[in-house]
Amino acid sequence: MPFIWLSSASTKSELLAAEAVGAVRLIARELWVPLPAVASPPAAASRAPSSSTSVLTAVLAALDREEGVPLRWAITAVDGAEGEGGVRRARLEVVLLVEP
Amino acid sequence: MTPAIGTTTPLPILLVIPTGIGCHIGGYAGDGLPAARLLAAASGCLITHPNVMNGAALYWSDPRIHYVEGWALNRFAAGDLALAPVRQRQVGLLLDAGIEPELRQRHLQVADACRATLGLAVGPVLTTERPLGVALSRSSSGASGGGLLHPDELLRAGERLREAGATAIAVVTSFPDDNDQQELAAYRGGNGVDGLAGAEAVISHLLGRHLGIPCAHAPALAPLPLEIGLDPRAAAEELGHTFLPCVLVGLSRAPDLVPLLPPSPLAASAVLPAGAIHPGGIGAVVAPAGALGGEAVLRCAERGLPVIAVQGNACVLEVTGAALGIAVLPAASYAEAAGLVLALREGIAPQALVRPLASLGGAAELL
Repeated sequence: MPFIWLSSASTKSELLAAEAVGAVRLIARELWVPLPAVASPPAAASRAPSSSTSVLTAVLAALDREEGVPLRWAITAVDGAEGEGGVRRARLEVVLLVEP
Repeated sequence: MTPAIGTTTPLPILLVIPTGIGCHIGGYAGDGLPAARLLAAASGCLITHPNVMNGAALYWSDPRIHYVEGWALNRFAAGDLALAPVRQRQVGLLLDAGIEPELRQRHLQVADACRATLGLAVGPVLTTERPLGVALSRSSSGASGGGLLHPDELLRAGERLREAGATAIAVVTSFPDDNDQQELAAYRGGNGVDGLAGAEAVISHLLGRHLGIPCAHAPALAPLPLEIGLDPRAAAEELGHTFLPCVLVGLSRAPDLVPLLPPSPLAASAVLPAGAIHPGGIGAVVAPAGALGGEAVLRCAERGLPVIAVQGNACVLEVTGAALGIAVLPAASYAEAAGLVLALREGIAPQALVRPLASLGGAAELL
């Protein structure tokens, strides 16, 4: 079937099986993306870019490592320690378009 | 031409209410429309997506509201596209071969009704060579998702419609009848996630990205039995046999998508079609406070644009400004968000409207 629903836990053989079907495919994946630490939670908007610059950069870098073109994506959760120096990560849900 | 900046000049605002995440406002059948109308009045120029505007047989046409499918909306937020308003479009109708014959006929009659009653230019009509095979899923976040078994069929049919003269495409696909009944009941009762919405977004993103013209989707579904406890927000979907009228109306005046990146000739030029909306003119983005992790919001935040986070529109996600490290302008409701938009349009600093107002004395020491 050209439409393949895969998760982050998909095995290499499942991925290879997906590639074998040919044609245009849509692949759904959930990824965990490390986020840069927030120095201090911003209180109000300003014209200056906030730390989302690095959130977006981290997300785009993670998408670049995936096979295919990201058709639809969103961060659907953020976990980890909040505040200065905390290690945080974002759950990214993405649908990838893979063309032969 | 860029008009002189003044308080009567429209301030382009993006309104994003992501689909398939159970938003209390805009997560049902076009029930984000009143908020869109209010924000359009406050800003003079609102760019939003079909999930906000589509109420099945109900719709609202407002020249200040620009109907832009999610993929193109993200590209606009990223600065890759400009939007050029048009008077009328030729809306091609792409029908999934998997639609039952009687339901297919209902959709053709809706298209005819929109031609005869509203004066829309609809056609040509094309049916795919084989069923597209919509598949539905639910992610661990609770958001609805899905896709197609045969995306190549959809893309081929879209290409043929464009070659035949369509300047926008309304796609209607057959959805599985064996949906989760508990989930459906919760949705109709006003306490659930739209189980079809995620797949709908993937279908329209796929077609829009491939063709570069406005596209939107309507699901073909068999009628549901009468539900006495139907939530008003879901009621628009039970007025008729199809969800197509709002899509045809929305697409009939959806703006042209003008590429700004190479190899477009506009990449190196400041010349845009008259009346075009350049992404450099976006004044703010308005989104639910717990759903700030989408591309349009993050692109705007990266550019330092105000992010108005509406706390009164809860959803199944908790991706807030604090979680992401994004500075936001909080708004308790869309009414308050409209006030903030008006303040931005008038050149009033939103911080001046709340108390306490911190002194500049201490902040100066930090520079």
